[in-house]
Amino acid sequence: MGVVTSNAQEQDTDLLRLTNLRKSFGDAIVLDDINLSVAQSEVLAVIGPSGSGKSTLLRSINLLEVPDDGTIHLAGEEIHYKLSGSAWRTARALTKLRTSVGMVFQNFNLWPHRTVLENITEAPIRVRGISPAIARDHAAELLNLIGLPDKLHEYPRRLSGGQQQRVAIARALAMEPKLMLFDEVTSALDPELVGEVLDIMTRLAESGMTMIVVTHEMGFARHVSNRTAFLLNGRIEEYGASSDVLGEPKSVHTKQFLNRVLHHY
Amino acid sequence: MISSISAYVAWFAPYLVGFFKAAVVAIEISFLAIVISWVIGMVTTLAKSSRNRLLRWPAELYIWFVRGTPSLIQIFIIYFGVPHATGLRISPFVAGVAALAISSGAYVAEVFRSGFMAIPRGQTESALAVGMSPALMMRRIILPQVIRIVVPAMTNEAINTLKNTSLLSTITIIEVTMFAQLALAETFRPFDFLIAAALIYLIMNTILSQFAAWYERNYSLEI
Ligand SMILES: Nc1ncnc2c1ncn2[C@@H]1O[C@H](COP(=O)(O)OP(=O)(O)OP(=O)(O)O)[C@@H](O)[C@H]1O
Ligand SMILES: [Mg+2]
Repeated sequence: MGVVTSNAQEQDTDLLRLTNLRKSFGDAIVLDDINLSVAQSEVLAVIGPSGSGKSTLLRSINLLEVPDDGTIHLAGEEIHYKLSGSAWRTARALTKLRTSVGMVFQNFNLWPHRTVLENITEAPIRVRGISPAIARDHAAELLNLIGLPDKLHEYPRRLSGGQQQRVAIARALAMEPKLMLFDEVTSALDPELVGEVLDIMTRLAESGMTMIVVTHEMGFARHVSNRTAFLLNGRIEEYGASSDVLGEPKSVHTKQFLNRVLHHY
Repeated sequence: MISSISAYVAWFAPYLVGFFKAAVVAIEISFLAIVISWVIGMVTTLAKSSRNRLLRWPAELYIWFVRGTPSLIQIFIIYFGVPHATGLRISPFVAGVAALAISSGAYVAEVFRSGFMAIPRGQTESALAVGMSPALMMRRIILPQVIRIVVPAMTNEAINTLKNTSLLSTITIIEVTMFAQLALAETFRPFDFLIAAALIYLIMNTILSQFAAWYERNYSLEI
């Protein structure tokens, strides 16, 4: 993990590459010419002030938000946002993209009318067409992994926030994604529950999962992520090895932001 | 005392059969009207939340009209007005079912709409994010939650429809109210027959709400 490769090699091992990504809501430019790549097994932390476009960036990757312009390469597939009527707009292409990208949300968003097991097996069975028996076995393994083997038949509301978020991670992993997106997944948690979720994410990173993590947890960003991007007003203000960006930031804006965040906590 | 009670029962018994048949008619009509009103309500809700004005405006017009006019006028329009204007012959039964369904559908639409609005956006997003199609998401994630949310309000609406069958006495349908009127005209005993009619409505509605309560208990939303 965390191998710094030369540029040429990086091109080959890039799992995700975003080129000239733009997105506006009305007059507001939210993403302004974003270029970013994430190598296989790399963990990218995305930090930045509220409203800088972090969520929009993540949501653009699995097309919950459709950018106005730009290209996304994911595992050899290429999607041009601007070409309306192009291939990605077909249901199959969209499903293919979304099944290879797992997403975990700030508010867990588990389905309250389904048990933990059903939350995890629903999409593998209905979307990927995996047999229920195999999906259940896989779910049981995942629940072991997240340390909740006995919660199989619980409903989400009976779980703590930390447990719910771990289940949400398992639900995303059950689709066997190539890339995992995390959008401030610990922000809605009581402080004492943050650790258990970060632990799972750390282990996931160590197992080689490619991850993009929007976070205010600077400790996590520094110790687990290989790269950090600092977003400001829809642009990447600073990008580089996490130890550099977080340890010796070059941009005065990054410095100011880090000072604010670190003093706040 | 005992003999006077048994004499009363013996006197009333023949009318029970008539009341029973009238209740069956009321149940048939309201059952059909309720089921159709769900379909109308769902279609109207979807049309109303559509971005296409050609779908949205008719839905809004329909809700506006139904909410602003008495059910009795709606029944008369369908039973007397429509045949007169179009030459179409409509049986009282069909007119009754149609009128009650149309009359209730507008309220059902509003109930569904509030149900959909109660589902957090995150539910949709997490379903889409795992690759579900909009149709699959609707069927497996959104609708099951909406249905559980709307059960109490839908029960009220179903009870309303059942009670509104009494308005159909005005278009020659022999449902419970009409039967009570016929019987009291024959016997000049309004109190007995109107109380009997009230009791029959009470029994039907109690069964209906007990069923709804049972449904809610067994399928209550785990939130
Ligand atoms: N659907 C939308 N419609 C209009 N404006 C939006 C929409 N979604 C986001 N925005 C705007 O885009 C900007 C970026 O939002 P975004 O949620 O990406 O920021 P963020 O960096 O994730 O912020 P936070 O740290 O508060 O989550 C904000 O100004 C926001 O108000
Ligand atoms: Mg955000």
